[in-house]
Amino acid sequence: MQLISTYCLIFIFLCGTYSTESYGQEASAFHKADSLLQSGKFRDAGLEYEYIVFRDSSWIVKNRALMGKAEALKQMGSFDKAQRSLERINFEVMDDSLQFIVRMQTALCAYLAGNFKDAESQLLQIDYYLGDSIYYKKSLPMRILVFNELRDYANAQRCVMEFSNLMVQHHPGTEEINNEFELLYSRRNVPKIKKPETAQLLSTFVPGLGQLYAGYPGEAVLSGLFTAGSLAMAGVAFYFKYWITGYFVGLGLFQKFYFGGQTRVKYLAEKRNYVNCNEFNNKVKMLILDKYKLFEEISF
Amino acid sequence: MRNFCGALFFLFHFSSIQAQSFINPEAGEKLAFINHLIRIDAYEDAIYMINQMDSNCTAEFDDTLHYLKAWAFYHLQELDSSSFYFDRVSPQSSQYYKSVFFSTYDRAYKGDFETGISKLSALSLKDSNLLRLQNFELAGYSLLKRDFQNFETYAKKFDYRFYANASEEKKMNDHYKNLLEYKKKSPFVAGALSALVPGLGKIYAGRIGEGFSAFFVIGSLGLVTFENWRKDGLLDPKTLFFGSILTTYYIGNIWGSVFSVKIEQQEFNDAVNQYILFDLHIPLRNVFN
Repeated sequence: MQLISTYCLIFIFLCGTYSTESYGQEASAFHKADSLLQSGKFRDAGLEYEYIVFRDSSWIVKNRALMGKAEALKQMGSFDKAQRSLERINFEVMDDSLQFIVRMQTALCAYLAGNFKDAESQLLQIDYYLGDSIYYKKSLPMRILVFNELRDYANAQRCVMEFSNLMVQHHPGTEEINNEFELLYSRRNVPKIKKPETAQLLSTFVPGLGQLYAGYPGEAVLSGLFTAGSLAMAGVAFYFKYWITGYFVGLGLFQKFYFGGQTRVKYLAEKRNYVNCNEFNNKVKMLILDKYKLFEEISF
Repeated sequence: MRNFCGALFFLFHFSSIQAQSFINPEAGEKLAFINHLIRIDAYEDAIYMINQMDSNCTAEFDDTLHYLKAWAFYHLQELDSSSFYFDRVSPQSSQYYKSVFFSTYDRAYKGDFETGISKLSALSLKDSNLLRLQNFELAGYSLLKRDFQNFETYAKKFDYRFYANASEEKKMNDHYKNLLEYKKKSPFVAGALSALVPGLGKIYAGRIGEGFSAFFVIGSLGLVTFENWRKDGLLDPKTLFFGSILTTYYIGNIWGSVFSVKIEQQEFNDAVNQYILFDLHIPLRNVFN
């Protein structure tokens, strides 16, 4: 939430500057829409901005309106629609600094909507279309968050170290930031991704071992007990010459537990990955937001 | 003289059109904006805008609002609301025919055939392509109602020449053949067969895999029960335990076979209805979009 409000303030400020400088005569057209936005009537504001897009033929005006609409949709929590609005913007009539802001906003909306691949795509487009290293540095926090969500921890760590070095460089006496990030991204802390195929293979040879690998010891014990128990039941039945009972009941139950355990273990591995990655990503988010105020003070 | 009257008529007609739009230019622009919202797939916003607009007291304006609202609801797949607003478009509107066709389709999709069909039948059309479409749609709705006699009457007029529904007419005939050839199964027979041979009733109902699975499970339980009975006697706990599981499965299988006939029939009808509705929809989009 803090990240959203921080980006919103920058966005509104620069959009306001853009609107008054570039086309004073259109300012009145935006007056109603901007007032609605400021007063919290986001749906009406979004419609007013879309009306400007519909009515005006100038792409400078349309772009400004689309940015306003995206802002209104974002405030309503419709991040997916906000992303789609920003993707309609025509960058040919924009200078680099504003293009950067728009692409960052698009990446943020995509991130908040859970479209992490789209967010990554926007960041790659910043690198491609805006070659200036300043924009790369300014986008470091977003890159860290996106790479984490995509489980690309190598790239996330690289960006984190660049981020913390930048902070230490511009704020002398804050060297402990480096230590904090190094500790967070140490080998011990970074989630180890469990492969569902490996878990299944382990359970093929030793029922329950896959569940242990996936990090569920309780289920591992249960799975092992039930599978061994049903096999033992078959063995006892055969020993006492209950051939049919041993075959259908004992081996039948063994087959159900054995193959059922293999199917279950793939789900457990995915679940473990989700839980661990979520926990780690939340820690990173908190640390980034905690240091963001210092990052904002850097003049690039 | 003729040329003068023609020019006068043209001038009057042109000025009346202009007068209509100048009566309330803001409303006209809002309508254009609503069309724009629909074009960019912002259907909820279009409905929101329409709800905020006051009626302009002209029937033509109201018709346009109703049509646009119906069209937005249609895209949101809220077919009850869509058919409601399509029905409010008056015969004077240029979108009247489209509204009647789509309203009937919406109702048919929800299972209400009678209301829409009567309105569609009552349409007096002059355009030959629209007549073909009307005939085709009525044939499809007759099939949905399983009114084969009416379907045959309409199907006789299929000419397979109109690009919008030529292939759909052939498909409709195929659906008709499938429905005719489908043999209804008896739940009583399914139950009796399963009582005789576990799983046979389900195979009769058309569920082959379930039938074999039931036969295997009940068969193996039967063998297990028999083995324990033979070795330990009828009153042995193991015999009673496996025997009770066997009885439960056996009775359950008979019960399941009786219901599987009904379920299979329902699934067949639902599948055919989905295909018919799909084939009814395509010509509507071809003609009116």
